[in-house]
Amino acid sequence: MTDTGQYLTDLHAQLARAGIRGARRERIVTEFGDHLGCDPDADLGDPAALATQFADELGTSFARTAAFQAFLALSLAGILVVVRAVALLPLNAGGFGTADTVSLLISALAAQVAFVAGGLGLLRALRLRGRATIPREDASALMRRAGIGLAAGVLTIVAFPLSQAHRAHSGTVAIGSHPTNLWWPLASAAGVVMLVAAAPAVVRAARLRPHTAGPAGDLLADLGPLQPVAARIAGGSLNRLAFVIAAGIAIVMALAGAAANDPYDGILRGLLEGGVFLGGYAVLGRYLGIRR
Amino acid sequence: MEAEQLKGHLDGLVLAVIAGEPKHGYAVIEALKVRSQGRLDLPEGTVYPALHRLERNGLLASDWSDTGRRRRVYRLTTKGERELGIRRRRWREFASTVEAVLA
Repeated sequence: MTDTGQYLTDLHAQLARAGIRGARRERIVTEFGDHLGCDPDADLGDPAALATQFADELGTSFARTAAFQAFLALSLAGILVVVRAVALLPLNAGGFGTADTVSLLISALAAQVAFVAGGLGLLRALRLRGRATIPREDASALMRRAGIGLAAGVLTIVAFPLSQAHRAHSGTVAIGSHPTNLWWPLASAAGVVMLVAAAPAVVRAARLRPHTAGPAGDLLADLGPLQPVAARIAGGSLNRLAFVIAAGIAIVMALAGAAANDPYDGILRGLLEGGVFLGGYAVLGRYLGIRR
Repeated sequence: MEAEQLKGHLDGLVLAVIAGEPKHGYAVIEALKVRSQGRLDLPEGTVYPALHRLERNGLLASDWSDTGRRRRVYRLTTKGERELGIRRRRWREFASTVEAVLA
């Protein structure tokens, strides 16, 4: 085998080792082959280092794209969820059973997880935009936020229609007779399709992650201009910041309940929401790169 | 001029040499050498990741050309032209500022 042939074979193997395969790898090898065809003595560099550079830059781009696409899909699906909720209002007049309550709780919880994960993914992607390469840990956080956001988004959508289907099946509500009945299955299906359509970008980001070492930032790093304020509240501890936010949520909910002349319900909802926030922080905080 | 000094400028240089006419990878590197009168000591292989990155960012577009040998030919997009204009303006401001201080 000639030197050129050996170089291209090495490059091919190193690209595969770095996670670059298929048409993209063939294109790179063809371009380098053309270069060596023009100048067989060209010093193109170490194939392993080049493959790593390609993989780092591609992985960075894939991770950012996954976060942006997930947020876009979640935003559009969120609009559809609102449309669907409006369409479902007349159907809810029949009252709620246990299955409805459980479904609604799952749906509400999943919606919050989707909102937080997708929003934080967007924040970090914006913070890291313009960089040719980012650390592997940052790419992993982007990919996880996008993936969790999309999964929670799908759960948000399917939990409620399942409940309605159950009610229709049991004869509680005559779904087929209501003029709005066409909208909620359509809105639900469209929402799920949008979220699933964004999933390949997450899979692609998971399969090719940058190799660059380095620490990933936490929630404070993602907050941009709000960072100094949040850092002052956190006082060096993200756990403290989480408690302050949970308390803030509880107080706002309690005040909203008081404004609606139902302070007891407001306090209960506030405690529940604050608790759910802290639970989410404890369970998913490290996985989503919110805390280290 | 060593590669370290080119960090942050390579993308702009690549855009500039492609601005005149579409080029394949080898021609881009040759144009960089000619226009710098051989003063750019560039690791040649690193230009390809830059070309791919610029294309992903929408600043370049590329197509296969089969005239003799199969090669990828890159051209500037409208977004790339705008970006090149911005980079040129920034560089002139930077260079004139540094020049004013050094002189």
